Amino acid sequence: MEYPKLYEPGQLNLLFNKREFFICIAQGIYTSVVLFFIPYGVLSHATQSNGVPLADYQTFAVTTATALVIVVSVQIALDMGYWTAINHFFIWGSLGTYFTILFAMHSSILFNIFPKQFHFLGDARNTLGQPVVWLTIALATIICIAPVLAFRFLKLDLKPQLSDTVRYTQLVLQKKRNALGRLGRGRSRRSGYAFAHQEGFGELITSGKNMRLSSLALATFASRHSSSWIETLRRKKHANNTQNTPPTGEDSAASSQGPPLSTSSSAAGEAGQACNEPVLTHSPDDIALSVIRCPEREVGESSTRTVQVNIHLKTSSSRNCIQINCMQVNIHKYRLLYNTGQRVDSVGAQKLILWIDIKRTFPPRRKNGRKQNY
Amino acid sequence: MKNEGEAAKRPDNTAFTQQRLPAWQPILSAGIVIPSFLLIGLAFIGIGIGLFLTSQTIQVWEMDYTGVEKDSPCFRCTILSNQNCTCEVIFSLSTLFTGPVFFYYGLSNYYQNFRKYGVSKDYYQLAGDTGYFKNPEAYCSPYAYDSKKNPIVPCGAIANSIFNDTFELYQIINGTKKQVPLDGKGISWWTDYNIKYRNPSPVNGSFAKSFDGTVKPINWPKPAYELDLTDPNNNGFLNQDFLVWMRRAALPQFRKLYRRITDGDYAAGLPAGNYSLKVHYNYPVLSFDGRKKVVFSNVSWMGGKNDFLGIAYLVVGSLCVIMSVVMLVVYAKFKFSDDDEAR
Repeated sequence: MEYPKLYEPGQLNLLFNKREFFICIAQGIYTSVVLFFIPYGVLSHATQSNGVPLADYQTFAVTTATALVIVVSVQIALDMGYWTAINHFFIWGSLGTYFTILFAMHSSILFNIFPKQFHFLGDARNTLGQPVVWLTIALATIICIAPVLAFRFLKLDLKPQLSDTVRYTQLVLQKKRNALGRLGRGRSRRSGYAFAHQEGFGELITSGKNMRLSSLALATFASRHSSSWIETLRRKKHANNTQNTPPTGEDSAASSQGPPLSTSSSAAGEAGQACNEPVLTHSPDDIALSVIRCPEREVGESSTRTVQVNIHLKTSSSRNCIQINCMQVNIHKYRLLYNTGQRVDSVGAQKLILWIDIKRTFPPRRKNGRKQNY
Repeated sequence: MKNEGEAAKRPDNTAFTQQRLPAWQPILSAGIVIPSFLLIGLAFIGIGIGLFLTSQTIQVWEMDYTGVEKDSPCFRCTILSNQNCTCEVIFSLSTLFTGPVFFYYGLSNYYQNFRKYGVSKDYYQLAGDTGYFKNPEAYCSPYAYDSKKNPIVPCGAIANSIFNDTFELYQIINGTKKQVPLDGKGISWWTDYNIKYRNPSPVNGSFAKSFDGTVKPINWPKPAYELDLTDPNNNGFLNQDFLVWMRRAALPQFRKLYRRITDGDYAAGLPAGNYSLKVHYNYPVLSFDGRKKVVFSNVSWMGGKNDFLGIAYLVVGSLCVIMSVVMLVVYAKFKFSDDDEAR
């Protein structure tokens, strides 16, 4: 339940509704048309290199069927985001099984037993040995897949979904981890199957801002808070189960006119904590951001340090909402809970970086009846 | 409180059961998609140019000889209802037709892919199983038995409708006709000739006797065992023209290989000049508005002339390149506007 927000698209029926169904139907019709008319156009005038025409019924059938299987396999491969050995086995295995069965059915052994049923004798070898046939199959595949690929890439770029952001985050995490030399190859050993998230990413998505790290954020981060808390980190690194989690906040406010409200999100997990050790304050423009570190406390066999992040917006308004986007990297194991009443836990972290992009927007579209108010 | 029972029920801590298998997580990032589109586009354009240029070097010559117009040489064969009409078509080639030259006959508006037509054959008979000679397959009807209830071998509509025009080609040199040798060996699929179609074994040394008790198909002039009396390897069900015809075409306009011109003086091709094609016109197609034609063609590594493939590759390649440029523009525009907003 790391990212509970990821369950939302399923609950709200966003992934398979009437619109998605008709899009699927349209793609199916397009693929069928391509898979018939491309072999039709090519084979109607094609001959083998020994002059025998290729326009016979059985050649046409094998060409179309093979093109179909390959297009479908490529489409499945595009849909798969997490390739374990099992996935490889089944995808390549299904292609191999198709060709095995094809050659078996077109073999002379089966023909001699059942001439009437297996009368495609010699077809597979004859057809699939022609370069023209493979060129046709490659052409049909690209015509079917390229629009899907382009569409998906543009959708990922312009309107990333929550699961895409989370997957990207995990990949960045694992790349940073690999950069530290822990794993020789870029493979994820984290469980990628079930992950959940909380509200922080929801705002990131619905605001339309994508998940790319703002270069400005990177630059400003690197320039400022370098040594002090890193030293603290290094000191604390060897303590068992306790890590420092100094957050750094960097905000980039969008245009600042209008409405706002004074929001402070605080860690209210433990009542009665005396959190008054300010670590950082920053107040450009109309936003005051302060991060306050609360003292450590022991919970069971681990000790945690909580942090309170206060964000004050100086201008006032009565209407619109503020969306707070947050992104973290460089965290080994973490649980980030953001917004009111939640805590940041970080176990074994070297650095915890919080980019807080505060962007004033119009009230988000009421997509599914959800309101986001602060 | 912990006890051994509880620990025993815990699932194994292996990579497989705990879903920790090493995995590859590809993601559609701009750095992969845009260059790959560009690469595919350029590769396709290259292939398309190669295919198109190859296709342009192939020579094709075709002529419709059905005889629909009154002034065509074979018109009189369409109105005469007798057999053995021959007509002569004169044509000329302006340049050398490089060899080996392939001679096709083509039919149009002829639906060999019609379902009922397509299943109308008996595979057992054609594989030489005499048990089925007297009991043709039910699918063969109404070409399974003749009017006197004699079984037909080979039964079925496909066999019955075999193309029976024959051609002779002459080159006209100084007013005399010199015959161009036509080679009909190996024009069908190897598997058809060697495995799929087998002749029945001769009875008492006579091939014709193995067909006793059966009759020839209704529209055939000669029975199967007389298809080629000069060559026993081309007789009966192994007749190459028969095999070429039995391989059904997928489309209503099709060509089938008739002969090759590879021998003698014409091994290098058909030299420029005048030619005369003598047609033994037996096959009626005008009743269903079909057309007959002859086609001469030479081949390359990719087969015959096929402009469609080259042009399709060029079109798809350029579309891929255009798409990659568009995606790059969209990505760059979005990225920079994003950074500007972030400021």
